[in-house]
Amino acid sequence: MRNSLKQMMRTPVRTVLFLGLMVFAALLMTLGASIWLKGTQTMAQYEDRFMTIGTVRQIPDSFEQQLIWNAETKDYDVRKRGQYSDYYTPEDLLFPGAEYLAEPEQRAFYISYQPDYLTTYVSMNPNAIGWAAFIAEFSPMEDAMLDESVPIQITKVIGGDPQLEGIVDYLCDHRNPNPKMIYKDKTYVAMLGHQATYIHGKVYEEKMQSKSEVYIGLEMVPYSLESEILLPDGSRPEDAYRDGPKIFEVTDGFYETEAGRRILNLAQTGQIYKYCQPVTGTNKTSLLMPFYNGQCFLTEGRDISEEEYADGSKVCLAPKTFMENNGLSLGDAVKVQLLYTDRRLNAGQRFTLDGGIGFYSGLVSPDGSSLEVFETSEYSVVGIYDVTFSGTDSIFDPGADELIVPLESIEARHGMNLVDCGPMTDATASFQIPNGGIDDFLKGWAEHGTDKLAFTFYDKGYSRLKEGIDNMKVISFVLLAAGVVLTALLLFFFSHLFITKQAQRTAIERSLGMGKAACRFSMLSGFALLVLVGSILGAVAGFRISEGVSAANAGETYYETTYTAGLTNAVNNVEVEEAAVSGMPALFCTLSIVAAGVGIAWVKMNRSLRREPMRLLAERAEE
Amino acid sequence: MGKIIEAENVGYVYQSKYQKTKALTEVSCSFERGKVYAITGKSGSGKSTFLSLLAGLDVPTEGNLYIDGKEIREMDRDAYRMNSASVIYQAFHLFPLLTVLENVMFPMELQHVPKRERKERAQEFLAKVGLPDTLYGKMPNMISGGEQQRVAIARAMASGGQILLADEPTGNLDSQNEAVIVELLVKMAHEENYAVIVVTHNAKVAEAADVVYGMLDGRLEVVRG
Repeated sequence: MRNSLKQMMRTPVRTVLFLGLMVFAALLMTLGASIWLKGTQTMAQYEDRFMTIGTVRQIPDSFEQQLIWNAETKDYDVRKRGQYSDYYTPEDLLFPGAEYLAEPEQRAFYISYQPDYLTTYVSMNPNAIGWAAFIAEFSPMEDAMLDESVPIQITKVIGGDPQLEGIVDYLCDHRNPNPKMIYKDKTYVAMLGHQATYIHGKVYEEKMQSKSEVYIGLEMVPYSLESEILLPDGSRPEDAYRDGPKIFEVTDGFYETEAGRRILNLAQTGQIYKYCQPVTGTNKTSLLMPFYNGQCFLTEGRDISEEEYADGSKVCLAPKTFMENNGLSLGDAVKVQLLYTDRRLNAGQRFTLDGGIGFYSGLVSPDGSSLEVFETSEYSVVGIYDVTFSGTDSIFDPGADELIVPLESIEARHGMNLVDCGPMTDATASFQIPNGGIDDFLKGWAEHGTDKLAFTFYDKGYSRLKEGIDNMKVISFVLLAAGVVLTALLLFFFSHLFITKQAQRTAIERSLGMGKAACRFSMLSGFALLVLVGSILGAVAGFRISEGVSAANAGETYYETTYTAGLTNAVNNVEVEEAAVSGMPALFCTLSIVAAGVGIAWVKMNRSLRREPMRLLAERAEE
Repeated sequence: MGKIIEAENVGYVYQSKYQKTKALTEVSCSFERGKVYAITGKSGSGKSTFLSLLAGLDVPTEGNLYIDGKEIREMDRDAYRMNSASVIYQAFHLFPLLTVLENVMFPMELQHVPKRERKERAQEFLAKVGLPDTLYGKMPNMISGGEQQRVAIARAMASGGQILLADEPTGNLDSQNEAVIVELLVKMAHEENYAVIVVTHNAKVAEAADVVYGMLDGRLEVVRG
């Protein structure tokens, strides 16, 4: 071996070139293999932390123009409203080949009547005057047509905040193109409230001219006594009060009339918004965007389990503020009394986190009778969640006091006392598909679905991460392939130089009495040692560089979904720590190169040894 | 003087994938220490094949070849070449990447002679073939053909055997160097008691031999004995 090395070292350029190129080839191979492995491991390691959620939005078939009278402009306002020939359902999304980890659902939210609990609305507005639709008797300050703001005095609150009694405010039948006269010596009753219309007309002019006071507050408007309750299929039942009178003169025996009884029934439910708690039924917590995107997060307890979701256990996730406001703890039961169902919006759009409420005014049955609680049960709190304000008034915001329960736990989950009904929207319909399955899903949907449904996907940066890692893998494959090809070329070329071209040396050694095994060892040892040293140096360098690449990523990589591919959007990002660089590729490359080197050299050496030395040397003599 | 090599009806057939070629036919002869033997003949007559058999690089396909009374097939032929028989060639065939001294030391390295001893003995052999010590550290390609052949003879001596086989040893040399080499070979036989067997076309070499064989179409005949 020493002689072999000595002879190699006497062709230093060739030897150093071989060694250097072997180092480079091994470096390429190791770097490629390390990056490939690291990418694969990183994806495998974090696959569970990613989740791909799709939301569904039905696109209107057309837009209908609605003309709404505006008493201030004495003209009709035009409003556009989407028209749907039919509502698609989650079942329509079960097309052949669709792969769901959580099947599509369209969530309703249910309102629980909670007179025994302190709601966010009450806790945040403890002394506020209840201006939201109340029922009261009033008398105008003067005879007037209700086509402009008319001063009235509230004489008696029948349903609503008693603090309103005696207050003088302004009333206009703002949306009625044919308003009635009201007279100051008479008493009227109506459901009153503020809408987004401002005081206008003579009162406003006088105040502006006197310059004593500029009053631009909201005027009150009378509400329809029409029931908000829809039929189970979402259609609106016949109701005489739909376009009927809104203001009634209080005469003797009025409250015994049908209109009077309806007013009294409405008065009963008129203030329940203060005691309402939204309850959302779902099949998986992460299908709810606030939970998926981290706006809602568990602070105590645990999530509802798959089994609990499947068998409809009476368990719930409750918001921290609600639990604190009511002195409740993890494991306590919350009594739920479901009163009505909303199948159009989500809880956050009706019950905002700052205590605002989008109330329903006509909470009586279509026949005018009182609305009854349709389901009562107790839910054990298994998890308490907190909420961060999105600050953007997102449609995905959770509702104040919103309880999350398994959909299966609600017997009347398809909705009783339906107050609103609408198509699937991003806020109410979602599903989960496998990570990386967006393209397949869209391809399948394009084949089997309709263009009336639009999808938005959220993958917490999975697409971008995968794209990045796939790109990295392509690069690593190129490096690996280049390394393999270069290694093969080097081994063939230099084994030709160091072995095949050294057939004379072998023949001399043989003629001097060296056995074939000794000749083989003599020739292979030097070559193999160079291959071994080159591959070790290259593998170590490749390993170090791949470590450096990993370190350059600062240990943590934030995959921001803002720029993620396709329809995916940013919600929040997954922090991904890249997998540690393994030494296995370096070891594997070294062993592979050495094995290949020895193998190639062995074959060539055997060819040399098969040649008869004397004949070979004689041939060379003739040359 | 006893016979060191004896061939009895030796024949050799080259067998390739497609054909058989008879290179030697019923060759019978013997070689003794202290004599120079020349084997002459045309190219392809079988001289080198016979030399290859004598060197133990192959074995006869027919007949028997005895080395010091032992049939060559029964011998460790690697050990035979290492310790008993050496070959020199027309093209010298020194290790091009070893120095003159290292080339001569090489056979002793195979015999595991200690480094210091093999160096001293190598210098001794080089001195015997008349090579100045200024050349010991040179590479073979830095010295003349005659000098290279002398190094090859010194290397043959270094193996310690008593059989020297030479395949056209003067073929690449000028007449001056040719004379020196022939003189060395004769000296090795007559003074050092080697059996020197030279395959040659060269008449001068043949003239210097004690016994001359002629090889024709694989058959050996005594030309001068």
